[in-house]
Amino acid sequence: MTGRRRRIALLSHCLANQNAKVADYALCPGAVSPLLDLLRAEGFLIQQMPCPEMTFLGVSRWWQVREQYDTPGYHYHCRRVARSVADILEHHLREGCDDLVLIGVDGSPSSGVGVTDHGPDWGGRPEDRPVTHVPGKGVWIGVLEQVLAERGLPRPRMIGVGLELAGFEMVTELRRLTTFLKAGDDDGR
Amino acid sequence: MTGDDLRSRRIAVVADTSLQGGALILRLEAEGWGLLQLPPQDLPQPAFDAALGLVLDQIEDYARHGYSIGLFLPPEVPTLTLALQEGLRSRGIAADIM
Repeated sequence: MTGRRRRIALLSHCLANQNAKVADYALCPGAVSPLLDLLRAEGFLIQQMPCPEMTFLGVSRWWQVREQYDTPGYHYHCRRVARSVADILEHHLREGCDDLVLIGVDGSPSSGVGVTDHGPDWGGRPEDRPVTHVPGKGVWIGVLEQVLAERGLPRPRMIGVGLELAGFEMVTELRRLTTFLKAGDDDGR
Repeated sequence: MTGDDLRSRRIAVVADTSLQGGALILRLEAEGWGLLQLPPQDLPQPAFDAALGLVLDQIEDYARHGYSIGLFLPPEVPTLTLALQEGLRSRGIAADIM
């Protein structure tokens, strides 16, 4: 922990509240504590963002893929949520910030940072259908980036934690996240 | 995807400062509560109302689906507590400060 450097982490909602996940996708009952512990140890002020999927379709929503969320209506909703995130970030930035990061969820149709999902055949009666993971951002992360830029706010360094990817291992992801966070710490020294 | 539904169906509504650490938040995490962070109580209007509205939207949906809602608010955030309680009342949501 640096002590003097002010660091802010925009946190994807479900990393502190797995109840917001679609059924079967939760990794644990509540918060992903090892990840929160790491952010605290690195001296980050944690700002949890609303989950736009949750605020759009609620907790009983079906699984969906990126293509199903990539609609004008969902983009509009994401912009509304992003404006609120920007308001809060602007408020925090008045006290300065040396390192701004965003922690997303790779594999997510909304919150993916480096990897999102892809299922062009999804639709109609809910059932298991083929889905793949592809490089790219989720809908929410893309909209949020746009809104922050429009407001003239700094672009966060971003990383997606691979909670929804096959072969996910907490130890490996925490190691990757630690390297990412420490890179920002070193930048200012 | 785990194949099981591990969600606790318990939502702890906490002050923005509480999420940064401390005994309360560590206990809630250990007990499996999901954390829902409120906006900073000194966030200017109308940004505060917009942010609180998004929190209330989530609480309302959780309550409709039978999730337990706990308000874990320290005495240092009276403005936030009043605004949250008023918002819950206006939506007909029953939740107690714990």
